[in-house]
Amino acid sequence: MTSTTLFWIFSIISLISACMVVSLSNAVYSVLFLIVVFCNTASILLLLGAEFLSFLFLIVYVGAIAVLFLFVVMMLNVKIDGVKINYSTIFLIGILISLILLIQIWTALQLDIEAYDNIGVPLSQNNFPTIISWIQENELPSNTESIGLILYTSYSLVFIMCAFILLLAMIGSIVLTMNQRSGVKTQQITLQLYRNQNKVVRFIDLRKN
Amino acid sequence: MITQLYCENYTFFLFLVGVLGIFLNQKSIIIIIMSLEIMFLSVSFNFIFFSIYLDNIVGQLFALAILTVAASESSIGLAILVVYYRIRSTITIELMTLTKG
Repeated sequence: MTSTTLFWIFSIISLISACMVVSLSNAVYSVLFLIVVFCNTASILLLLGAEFLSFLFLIVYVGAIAVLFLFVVMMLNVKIDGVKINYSTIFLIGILISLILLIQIWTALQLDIEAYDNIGVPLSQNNFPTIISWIQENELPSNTESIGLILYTSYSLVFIMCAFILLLAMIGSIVLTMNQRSGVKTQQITLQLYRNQNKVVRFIDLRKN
Repeated sequence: MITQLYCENYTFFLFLVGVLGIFLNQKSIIIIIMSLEIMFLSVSFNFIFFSIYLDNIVGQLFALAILTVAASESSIGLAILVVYYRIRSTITIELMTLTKG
């Protein structure tokens, strides 16, 4: 199986499941199809040779974002209520936007980029893989290594900025979802810690006649 | 061999599905956030593809930054959604008139 066949399979499955994400009414099924889209895109990236970002997509998108979506969908218990939609007005906007996008992409494709046109895993005509020189492969830096070599040196400011964005998102979501209810009797730790045992335990005369 | 046009078409259709998912959908806002994720995915795929095609590693760094922004965006959006559900107990877009004045 050549890489082109694999690319076709992954892309068609991914596009069909993306359409299912948009069109399905049950949100749980939409999240599951979203996971299929992410996995197939990660496999196409693996075909292209970007190993680090492929596995990062699997970890971040499937492991974090899709699980977050599933958690929220399960927690909210969304009811499907039949709100009538006037499809005629929306459809016009959809066609307009897709036309604009199509024209933009078409003009972008007219640009002639001077580079080699064939990428991917080299396979010979008889589907036998070509001989890989492992000594040369060991000498060359891998994808992960070449990303790390410039991410921590020339683009370290971008890295720090990413860290601050993630910190901001974490603090923001915690502050948003934390609800402080007033007037609820809860455990007060400071008062408990300040309690002195000499004053707590004392003798009481029950029969003081 | 995977040519440039295949990847271009793939990202274009994926982005189109995301955009149409925002505009043709009026059921719940969670589908809209999901189609935003699809759009982020297609854009970062485009960055990675062209970084491989033009043999320049900076595109993959941009994809990394997009990944960070996508993760933080979805977490904050879902937090806002949870707060909204606590107030209104529905997430239908048709009934979103809290800031109407």
